[in-house]
Amino acid sequence: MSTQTRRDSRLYARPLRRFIAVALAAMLCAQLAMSYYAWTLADAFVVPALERKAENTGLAIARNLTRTLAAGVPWEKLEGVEPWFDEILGANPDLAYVVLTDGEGHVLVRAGHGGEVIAPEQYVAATREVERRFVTYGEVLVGVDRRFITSRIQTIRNDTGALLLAGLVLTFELAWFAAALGFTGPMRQAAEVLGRMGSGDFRYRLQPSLHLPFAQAVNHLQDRLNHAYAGVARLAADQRRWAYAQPVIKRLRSLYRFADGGYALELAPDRGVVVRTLAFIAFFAEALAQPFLPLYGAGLPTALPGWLAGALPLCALLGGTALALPLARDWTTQAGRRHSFIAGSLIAALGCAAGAWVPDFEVFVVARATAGIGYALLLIAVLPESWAGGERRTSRTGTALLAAAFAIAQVCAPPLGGVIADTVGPRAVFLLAALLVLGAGGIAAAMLDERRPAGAGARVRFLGAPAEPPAPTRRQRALVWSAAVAGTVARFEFGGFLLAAVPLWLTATNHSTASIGRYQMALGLVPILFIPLFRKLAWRSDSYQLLLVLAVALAAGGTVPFLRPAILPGQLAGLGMIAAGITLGLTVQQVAVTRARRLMELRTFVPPTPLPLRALEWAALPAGPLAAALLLQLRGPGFALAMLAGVFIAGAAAFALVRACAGREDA
Amino acid sequence: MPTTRAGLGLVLPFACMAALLFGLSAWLYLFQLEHILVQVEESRLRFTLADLRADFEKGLDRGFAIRQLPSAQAAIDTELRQDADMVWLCVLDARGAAVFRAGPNAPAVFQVPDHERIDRDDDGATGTTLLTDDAGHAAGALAVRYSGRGHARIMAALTLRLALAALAATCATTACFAWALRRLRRRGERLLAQAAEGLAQHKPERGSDQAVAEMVDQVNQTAATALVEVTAARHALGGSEAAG
Repeated sequence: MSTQTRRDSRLYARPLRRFIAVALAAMLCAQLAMSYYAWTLADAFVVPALERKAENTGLAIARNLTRTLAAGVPWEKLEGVEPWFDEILGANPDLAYVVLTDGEGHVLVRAGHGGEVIAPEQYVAATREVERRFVTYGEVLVGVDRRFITSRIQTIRNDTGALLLAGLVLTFELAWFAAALGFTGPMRQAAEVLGRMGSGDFRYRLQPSLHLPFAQAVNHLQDRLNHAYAGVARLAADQRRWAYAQPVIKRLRSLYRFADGGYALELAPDRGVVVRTLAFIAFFAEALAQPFLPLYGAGLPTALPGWLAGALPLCALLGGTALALPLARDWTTQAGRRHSFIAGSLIAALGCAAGAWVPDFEVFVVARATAGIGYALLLIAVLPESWAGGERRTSRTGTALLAAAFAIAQVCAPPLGGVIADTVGPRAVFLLAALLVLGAGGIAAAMLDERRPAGAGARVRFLGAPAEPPAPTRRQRALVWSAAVAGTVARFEFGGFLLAAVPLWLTATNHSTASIGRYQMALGLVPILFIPLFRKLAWRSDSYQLLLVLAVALAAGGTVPFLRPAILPGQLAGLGMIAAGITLGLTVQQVAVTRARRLMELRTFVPPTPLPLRALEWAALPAGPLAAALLLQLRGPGFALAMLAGVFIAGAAAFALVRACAGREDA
Repeated sequence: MPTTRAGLGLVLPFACMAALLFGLSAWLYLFQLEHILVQVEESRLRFTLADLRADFEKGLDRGFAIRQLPSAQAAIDTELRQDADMVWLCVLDARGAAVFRAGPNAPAVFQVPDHERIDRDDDGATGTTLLTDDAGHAAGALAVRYSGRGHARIMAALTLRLALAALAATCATTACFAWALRRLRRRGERLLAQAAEGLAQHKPERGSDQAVAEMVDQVNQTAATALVEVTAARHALGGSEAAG
């Protein structure tokens, strides 16, 4: 199987890589070209304004010198000129130098640096003559540095860098999407059908929409074989030949697989990529508002104290999602995922757009809750269990696809949202999110089918006599509990730490919305950076205890700058350590749980999670921001961050304890 | 497989994304350039104010009242003549009444501020500063009005150029993307056409892709063997009927 996959991927891997590289290179070049162009614009338009200031300064200096001459001081005995020039330069940091020369061009006084010998083209100078009664005594040269302007432009390099990174990630995502639909998907399908035919499986037809001549050739060949076999099957069905026809048929069937009755099945194109893109758009739209949501909520007129007002809209959003998910699941099984996705996109778009024009706090909270309900419907429609039954992908790869979409959205959306909120305004972000979600709804209407989720019938369990499952063993219970602990802490920290406490703490330390977005991007990058580590470590041995200890140590070390008085860079480093520790620890727990679950599925079965535990997991999502806000209100932002790290450490300890209990029984 | 419409559907999301991204970049640069421009203009305005104030305060220090300042009218007239962007200047007494005025629209009464300040509006900027005598008492104020025409002109030019740059960048990247995607899809079509040809001719086409040739070869072999076996089975079953 693996050699076949490798041979298949030879068909499309290299052109695909080249295509993505071209798209990324084009985006990178265009961004760099644009930055360069903005620099030249600054040189052409802003430097002249600075030059005019130099002229004004030269004029004023010349006038004052002339006045001094008029007061009777001879030109040769002018005093205190150099301190005066220094004073002017000190008060005007945008001027580079002031030079006074005599009539023949000899330098009398020079203050400041620049324009001497090295790179005079970097300086622009304005010249003024000092004259009195038609006698020119000398000249005043006031120079400005072009680099002063360009260095000012560089102050936005963080923003443009974040935009560049977000642009590259988005380009990758869209290029992957376009290639998967336009090239990889059809090639995979062709490779699959050819591979099947090569190994003697002639059951699948191709849709002519794939590629007409190819589909015709394949279908023609299969029709010939299937018809020939159908003829043999007809002959063999004759009672008189039954006895000696059976070995012949049996032999053919053991070697080949023909379509029953001479008609082949249609090989449906894989729509997994569409589902992933839809999920990505939804995650992206929501993450756009992440950097400023707490601040925006706190800015609306309300009687609530500031921190609480910042976290409550988040609570409403996450709570809306958590509450609506079970209902949405039931509704989706009836209505089908296409309807569910379209309805969800409409509701979420309404909630987002309403967020832009809310008059007061309460309406904003309701709008966020509405958006949350919409997102719940969207999510259910793209969750793996809703579509894994139809498509030829396992639910495992489906979950991985969704997780990747979520991670990528967490990386590229917050900086974009922060920059838009800073330059255009938060309303534009909400409107953009609404438009994006609507667009996703449009894509879903065009590309999703009306398939009901798999197992829609199997859910009606109460009609038959319910088979009593065997009582779970202690080890199975431990697995369920450890999964619940890991899931609860993960949801709590996502809502409380990443979405609420980090932006609120950064706001409290005077960071702009754009820089909050950048920090969230950096935090989003952390789990992606851990992926290679896990590839190497976690699956080889039981190294997760070690990683968990490392994560706890990181988180605990990160809390130190928040519990003691510390300077801001130290606190930022602490924040990074806490974030890295929490992400690493939660990922380790998730990996360990998934691994144990898979092992147990091979041996026995995994009991379903009891309802209270599931409810606890989902309740942790809205509880996170609320707890963060209460901690902030009571003891301040730094303490809240430290406490959230403490919650993670306690969760890790509980997780380790549950695992240890299970392990002892096994031994 | 590929149609123009489907291709457009694949390129359109990228075009929207590129437009958003470059539009945002352009906006960011415009925002920053305006910020720098305003800073430079205000520093120039501040310099002019400081220069004139030093002049007038020298007169106040010598004991003149603000109405008696020597050559004050000449100084502000010269200043107005030398700076093309200046609209008017006036020297105010402590109550805000203009004592000396230069410029056609100079107001007769202007509010005296409590510290140096610059107010910007759509048409320009007004800078005001206090004149204090050597005892530290506010003797009056100086107000200078700058026209905003130059600023507006620069901003319009910058907006146009950055918008065009964003448009050009969007078009260029989208064209690049569309070209690369078209090549990719062409390649896919060519591979599938080769495969179709190979299947129809029962042998891989010469010069075709190695992977495709291998696959088609295997399919042809399997299909040929299967056909032979099925036909043999048919003969066996049919032959037995003839014998019976």
